[in-house]
Amino acid sequence: MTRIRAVAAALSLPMALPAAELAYEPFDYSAANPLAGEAGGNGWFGAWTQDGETGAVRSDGLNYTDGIGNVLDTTGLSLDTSGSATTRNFRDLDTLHADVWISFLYHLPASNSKFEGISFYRGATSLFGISSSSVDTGSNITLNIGGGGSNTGKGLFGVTHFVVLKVSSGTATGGNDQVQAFIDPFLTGVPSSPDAEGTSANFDFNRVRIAGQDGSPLYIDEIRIGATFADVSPHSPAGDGDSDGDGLSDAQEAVLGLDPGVSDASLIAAIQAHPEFFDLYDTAGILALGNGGVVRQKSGDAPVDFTFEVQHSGNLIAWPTLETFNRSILLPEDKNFLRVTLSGR
Amino acid sequence: MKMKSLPLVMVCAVLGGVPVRADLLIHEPFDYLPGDLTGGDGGSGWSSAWADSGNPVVTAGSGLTYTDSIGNTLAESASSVNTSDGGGATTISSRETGARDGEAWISMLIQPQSTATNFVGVSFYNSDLTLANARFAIEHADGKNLRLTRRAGGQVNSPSFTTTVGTTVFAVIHLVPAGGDGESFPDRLDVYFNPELDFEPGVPHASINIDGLFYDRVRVAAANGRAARVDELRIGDTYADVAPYVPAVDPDHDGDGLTDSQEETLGLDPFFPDTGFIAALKANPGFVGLRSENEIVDVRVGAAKLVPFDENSFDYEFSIFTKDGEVIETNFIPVNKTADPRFLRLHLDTP
Repeated sequence: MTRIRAVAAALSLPMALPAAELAYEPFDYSAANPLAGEAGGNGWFGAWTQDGETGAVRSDGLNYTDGIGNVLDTTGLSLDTSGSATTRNFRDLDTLHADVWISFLYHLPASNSKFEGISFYRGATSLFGISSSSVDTGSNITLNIGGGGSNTGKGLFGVTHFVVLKVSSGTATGGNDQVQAFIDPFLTGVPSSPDAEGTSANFDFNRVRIAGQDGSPLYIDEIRIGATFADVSPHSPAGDGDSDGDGLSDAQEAVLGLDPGVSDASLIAAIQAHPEFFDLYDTAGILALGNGGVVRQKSGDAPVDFTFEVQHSGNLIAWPTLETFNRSILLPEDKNFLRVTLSGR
Repeated sequence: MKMKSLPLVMVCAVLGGVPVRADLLIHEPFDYLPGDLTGGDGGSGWSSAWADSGNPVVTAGSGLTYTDSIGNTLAESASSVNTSDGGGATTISSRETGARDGEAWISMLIQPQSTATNFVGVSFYNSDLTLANARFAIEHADGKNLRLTRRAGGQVNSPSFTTTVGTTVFAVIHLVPAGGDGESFPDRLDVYFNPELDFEPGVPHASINIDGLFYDRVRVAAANGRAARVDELRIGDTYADVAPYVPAVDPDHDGDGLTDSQEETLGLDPFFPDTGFIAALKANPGFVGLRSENEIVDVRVGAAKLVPFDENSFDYEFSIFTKDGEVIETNFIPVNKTADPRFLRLHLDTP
């Protein structure tokens, strides 16, 4: 095999790490069209297919405004699972996904005891999903894992819900994967208290299914898969008021569960003075977490540069520089620091 | 989130509940040398030494420990018993307590060692070890989980308490005279699993009515060599008697992950959990100008080493890896003939 020799120290193109929005389906199709055969959005492999009947594109899209007035960005129309018999539409993603956030809009128009839901597959294996209950006529949204379900205790007929799933690899007991469901979280901060969660050995997925048993109706819109919560919750902010003048906006206080009308200035100051209580750091603290290497801070959206040398020696005493290398790493949007360490490997 | 409204000392006084100590009537720390338990006569308050019914449980290994949710640690000694002696035969050991009746608290440490469904338990009998004279027990619930069982007057089981194999459970039974239904079973047994040590527990895991609170012996047994470890068997007049503890240095009374002193510093109420706020803050540290380790991307620069390129020349090689070991970049660089390349090393020159 011929090996290509690099030109030392000349490589300066930034190396990119996994980024932002990974897949998006806004259902930006013509109204009343069958979903099967449509192939819009991005991050997908091929078009929607059908297994049984197909759902159809509705004449309008779904919208979501959170409890403090932030409005989710939406385009296109939406999907209706209604049909004369069970509708099932599948679409493959262009890669296997793990450690991602998923979001979509979910609207169950009326009561029934049928299954209507969106499920995530690896090949032919169903892994997890969100659905209405098929064992009663209630409106609660259920997180399904394999054959079991976990009731979120939330969900209303005729109301559009913003459903967010956080899929994490190896974070559960025994190294299992975990999926957490958040119903109608605020759009301005990362949600932290799931309404339901479940675990399994492997939640890596590469396929989405939307189904309505016996043609029962469910509206789905704005399916997003991304590396961060921000990737799957783009929105127009309601404003950035700070009613109590404590430095936290009203929207941030809503995310934290604080009262936006009562100042938390002393609490904020105490937290900033003792970030270690929460396993957090100030910037200097993060920069000190070198673990034997160095930590560099990102500036704006620019790549982070670092430099290292290859040194040589004939006596293990003197170590003159043989070559100097400059490299750049383009960090994902939610990452602000680059830690470089040397490895014996 | 609830902000602190009372000084800590006053809160403690208002909540009260600090258990009153009377007398520890019986104690078995199993502080024996390794081997059969039979003949062991340590501890205090007993009427006899340990006896067996042919094949005893054994003293082995270290003692069990229990730390409650706020960091208080049960006082314990250095050894325990194992219901398995390494063979497959049933083990039974018993010891007489003297005739006992009336209100009492009983505590013990139990650590399930497997999910097997064979019987294992600590049982209380009267007169002898026949089934007809079995009174009540802490025993397995068809596997690793535990339950309180009443055998006198017909078997009744409490709901099971979920356990983890290899994790110690602090089980407490409160014998309550006249606490039952007033007719067939006028008395009551309350069971608590893993209660906090510094307060008499309130709501029990389960209650079972019983006719009479008498017993005169304890049996530790397991069927077919099933393993469970047992330690620190105590009988006393009060909860405090059977739950002596070393106080936590800085307890976390509300169990939210912040110690009481930390909550004091932050102006929070140490008796009201701030779990949701803590999780939200950790997920959004930027709201208060702080940083999280989650914001760090790790890369590693792999070792430089010499590799032959052809018959006449060498390269040195190094790679850059992600945290998960994925190679981002690999370089093969021709060795400068003027350099002495017998040893190579990497040096971070980034300020």
